[in-house]
Amino acid sequence: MPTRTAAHDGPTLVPDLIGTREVWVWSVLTVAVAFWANIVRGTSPGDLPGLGSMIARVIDNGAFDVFAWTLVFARVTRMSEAGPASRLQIWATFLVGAIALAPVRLAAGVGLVILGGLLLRERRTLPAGRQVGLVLLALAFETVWTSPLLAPMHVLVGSVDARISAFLFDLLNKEATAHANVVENISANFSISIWPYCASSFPLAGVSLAFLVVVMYLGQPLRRRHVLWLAMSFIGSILLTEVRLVLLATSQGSYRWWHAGPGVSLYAMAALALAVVVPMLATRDPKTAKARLDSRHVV
Amino acid sequence: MKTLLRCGYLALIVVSAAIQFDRGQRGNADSDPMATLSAGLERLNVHTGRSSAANILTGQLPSCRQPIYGILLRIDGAEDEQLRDLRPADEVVKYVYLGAVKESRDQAVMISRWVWASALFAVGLRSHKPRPDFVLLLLPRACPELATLDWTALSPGN
Repeated sequence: MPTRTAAHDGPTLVPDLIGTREVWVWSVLTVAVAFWANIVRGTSPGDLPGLGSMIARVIDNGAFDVFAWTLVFARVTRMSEAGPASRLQIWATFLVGAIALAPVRLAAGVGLVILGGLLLRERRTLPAGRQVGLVLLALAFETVWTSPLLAPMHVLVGSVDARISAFLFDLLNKEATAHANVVENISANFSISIWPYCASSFPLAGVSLAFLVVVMYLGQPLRRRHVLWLAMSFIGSILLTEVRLVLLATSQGSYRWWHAGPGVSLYAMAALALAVVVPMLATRDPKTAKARLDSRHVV
Repeated sequence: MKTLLRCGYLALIVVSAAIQFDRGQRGNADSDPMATLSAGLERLNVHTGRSSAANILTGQLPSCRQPIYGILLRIDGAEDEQLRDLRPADEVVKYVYLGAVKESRDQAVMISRWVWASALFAVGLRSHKPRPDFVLLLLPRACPELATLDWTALSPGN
């Protein structure tokens, strides 16, 4: 098995020993295949085969998953110092591969947690590797957060959303009530049910992933003050969902427009803009901004 | 040793992809909800006829002259407009969803059943993700024997 062969000169790789960087590449590739295969193949009844449907499923899953994996693969070869892979690394990556054989999305999530954790605790991991570890953990968090196992929690949040929507209708001088997850717009004689994937809590894991990915793409280190900006991002996302729910419950025509019409793209664009703008503001360096402002005064 | 490890990683990737896509193919085998509804009615000895609309099936039991209607509707209410003109006078209405047969549409029951079935699917204990639609049944009152049939066959719980 691989061992360090020349400790005094730093690690060198014996030809028959597999390198730690190569093992990371294989393990990231293994978990990436499991993650995307689960999305591309489709898991809902009625999911169609064919390239077009597969691309649609990838887009539906969120652009930030694509960005996150692009970031991971862009840094995969420089995640760790050169040297032979440890036994722990080899066994852990094979374990991740074995877990990823299970044809459920949660298995890929478990694999991401193990891999991300391993990257963060490994001594030879470079800063790029730590960033990748964080992104893998964020992807795992999103996988678990949006899984049906947490649906009961989203159902509970959905009932709160229903009450908030009724309150917003009240502010607009429209009569509405909420019971359980149903918003009943009495003025328009129309009601909607808020399902787990429509609740305001559902997109929050995606929002945190988007925040992390944008900060890392901007080449900024994570700071404590970013937590405040992340909280603002959450609040923005929740408000956007509440507005969407009110628009959905306005009338049958409005429901169609916002649920299956052009409103879907409009909402997605607004959510995307929010997810990008907040971390950009968070990473803005006050000194640089001041310098820019000063130079404008000079010109 | 290095080659062996590389072969191991490659094998894991290939087998993982093969398993995922095989599962996808089997999952898609149940992608025609109307065919599933029709098969469910046939299992109850209800002979199905041509549907008058894309999501409506008519059927008849040998012992009952009046037709039975099975309507497939989305649980999120997106197709509820079709029900606006529905005023059943000589029919009993039943709502069938994931092993539950109810006299009234209970969103809480539907959500809880959907959540449970989805959770089972997520951990691999259910082969298919629960469908996003339920069956609305219109049964003629003149045939009380229809009430004794196990209508859960139209939308099994597992």
